[in-house]
Amino acid sequence: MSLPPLLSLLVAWLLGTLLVSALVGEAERRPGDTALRLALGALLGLGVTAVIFCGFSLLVDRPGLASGIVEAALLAVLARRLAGRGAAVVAPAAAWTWPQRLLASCCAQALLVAAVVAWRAWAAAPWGGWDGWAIWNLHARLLARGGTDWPALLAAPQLSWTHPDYPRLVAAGVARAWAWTGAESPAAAGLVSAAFAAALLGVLVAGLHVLRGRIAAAVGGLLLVGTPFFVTFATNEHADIPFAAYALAAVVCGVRGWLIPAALFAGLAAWTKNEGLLFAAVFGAVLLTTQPRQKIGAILGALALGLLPVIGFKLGWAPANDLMGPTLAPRLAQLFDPARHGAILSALGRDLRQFGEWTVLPYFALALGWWASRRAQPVPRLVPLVIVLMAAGYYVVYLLSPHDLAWHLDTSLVRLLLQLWPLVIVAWCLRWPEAAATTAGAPSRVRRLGWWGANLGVAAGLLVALGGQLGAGEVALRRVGLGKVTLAWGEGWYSPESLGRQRWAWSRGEAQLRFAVDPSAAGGPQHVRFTLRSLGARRVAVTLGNRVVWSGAVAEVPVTVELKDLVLPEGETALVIASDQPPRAESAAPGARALAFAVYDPELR
Amino acid sequence: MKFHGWLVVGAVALTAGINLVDAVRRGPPPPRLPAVPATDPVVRHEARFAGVTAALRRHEVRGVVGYFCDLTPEVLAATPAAMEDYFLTQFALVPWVLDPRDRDRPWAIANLRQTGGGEPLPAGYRMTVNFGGGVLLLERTRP
Repeated sequence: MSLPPLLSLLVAWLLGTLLVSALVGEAERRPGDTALRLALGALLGLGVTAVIFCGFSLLVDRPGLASGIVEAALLAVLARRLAGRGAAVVAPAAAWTWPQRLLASCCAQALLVAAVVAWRAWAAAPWGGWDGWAIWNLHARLLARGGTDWPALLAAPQLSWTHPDYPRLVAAGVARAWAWTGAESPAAAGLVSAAFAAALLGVLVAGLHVLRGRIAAAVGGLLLVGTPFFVTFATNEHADIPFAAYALAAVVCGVRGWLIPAALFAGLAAWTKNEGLLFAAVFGAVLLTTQPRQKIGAILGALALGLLPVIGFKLGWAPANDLMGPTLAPRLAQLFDPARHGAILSALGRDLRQFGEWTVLPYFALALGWWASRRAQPVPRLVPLVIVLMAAGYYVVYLLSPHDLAWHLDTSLVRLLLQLWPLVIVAWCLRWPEAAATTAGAPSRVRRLGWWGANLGVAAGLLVALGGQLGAGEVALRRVGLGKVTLAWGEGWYSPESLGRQRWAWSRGEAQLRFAVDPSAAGGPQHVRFTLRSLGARRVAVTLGNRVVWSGAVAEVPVTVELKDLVLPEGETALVIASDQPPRAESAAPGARALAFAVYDPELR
Repeated sequence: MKFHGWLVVGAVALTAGINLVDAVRRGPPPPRLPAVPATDPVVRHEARFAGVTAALRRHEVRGVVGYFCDLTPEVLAATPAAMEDYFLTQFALVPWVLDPRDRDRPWAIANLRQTGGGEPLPAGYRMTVNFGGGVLLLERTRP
């Protein structure tokens, strides 16, 4: 990972945080408000810098430079303006209790594990999932490579499959990171994707902390990072998590009473995904009906400002949307088709169980929470109203969809549920009773140090355990000091098979086992052990470099091979296994595999 | 906080913990020995078409170019795997727009999987660059 994409994100974060501070003023800060401003600042900064970059991409061939100058100027103006303000009055925070500390530790360790899972998901598909590369990164490439002609190129009918009408926030954000990097690195695209997910989590946790205290914040955070689909999708370079982040930011700001940022975030949600247009309409309507009349003008003004980029794009450049393009009138009858209602409800029932990719559904814990908080705080109307109206809107869109309904549901419903999931978590956590302020004194320095030490120890233990997990195609791993020696299936094998704890692979003929040796593990003696079996009698030789390290007769009865004191150099080395007989068909069936020999349960000692 | 509150917290933490552990199990780390060729189709395609972008620039090709594969346009449109190949090629070659239907473009990309480039060229085209593996840059020879 190079520095420029990180720097581009840091500049966006700083700019957004200053903007949030300028917009919300310096009235009394509640505990957690600073963290909430930082999380909201990341989202606002990513949105505003994407708008600036996209605007310049229509005017100049090097939008990175022009937008960078404007960002620097904005930073200077905001810093100067905010520097003149007096210090904020920060409400005193309640002392931490030990159960709260323990819960915070669980959250931190869960976050660490989630970050590792998210990184692995990115490493498996660096350019993202299907929509990641086929829509969002492709649009980003057009912005980065197409010069000022990109709208004309994207309007080409041959590219209609890339959904050229989709809003540009994510694509422009990625293209901006690439412009700072000077190269189209998938790592930069993954970093932008992860930044949105991290900001979403930050808004959820900090928002709940401000609104309901530490325990609600921790529980909300655990529910979100305990959703594997959210974690693996965080780096998948789609726009669903960025959209969910803006929707959540709008709702949290709305509940917090920061109405102008709330309306701006609703506008940015619309600049992220077409679902955001529905969200902006729903959220704007709910906000206007739940706020005093004297605030309506400011809300409408901020909403209009937030919607300006998407309105300009939709009116100026975007082709018709695939859902709205075909004439609507003939499809109105679909609203009353019982088969469509049945199909949608059936898919909803299925995907409510599956969308989070959970092993244990969180609904039992949520239900327990509803039971436990029967006389809990009332949830501000804004949150459930937005969730219900958004869900209703999605339902109607499916009813009116011009596409094959089953296909449409199968390819999108889980993502729509993920978009609403953070709002559902917030609604559930807002029922949580506010923690009563405690007067417990601060723990002694020794205890604090002990707590931090224990946390760091657990984190280190988790990282070591995760680092010891076998990767795809790997069969054995051995730690040598700080380094590792890994053994993996190389070329010449059919797909590896397993039954219980036993693992094996059949060869097509000559085959390889590959070693990867870390620098600090090189040179030391390695012992390798595996079992060989073959169809029919044959002689098998195992070679390392030019040296035959084992040879012998092999047949149906397994033969144990022990290779002792192998000296492996740093880097990659192959153990070549070959036999003196051609492979033999495993059966008389047509298409039967031709098998030479099988290696069972390779071990490194 | 009362006992039942901590019960809920425990239930949420346990649920999240189990789900995360299972996510770790399902998502193994990337192999320390990178697979050759790469397992991710997008990465494979990026490598396959790495030289084409520079060649298109060198020949000052702009806008829309033709796209030939082993299938006719009609069969291509009905073959999901071939369409994925076409989409991946388009992703690799942005900002050039690939047109699999128009056989009269001045420039075209051939993405041949089955023939490896040994097949006769599409009528009216000559090969300008052979990138290997069935990837060719073609130029139209007759108007």
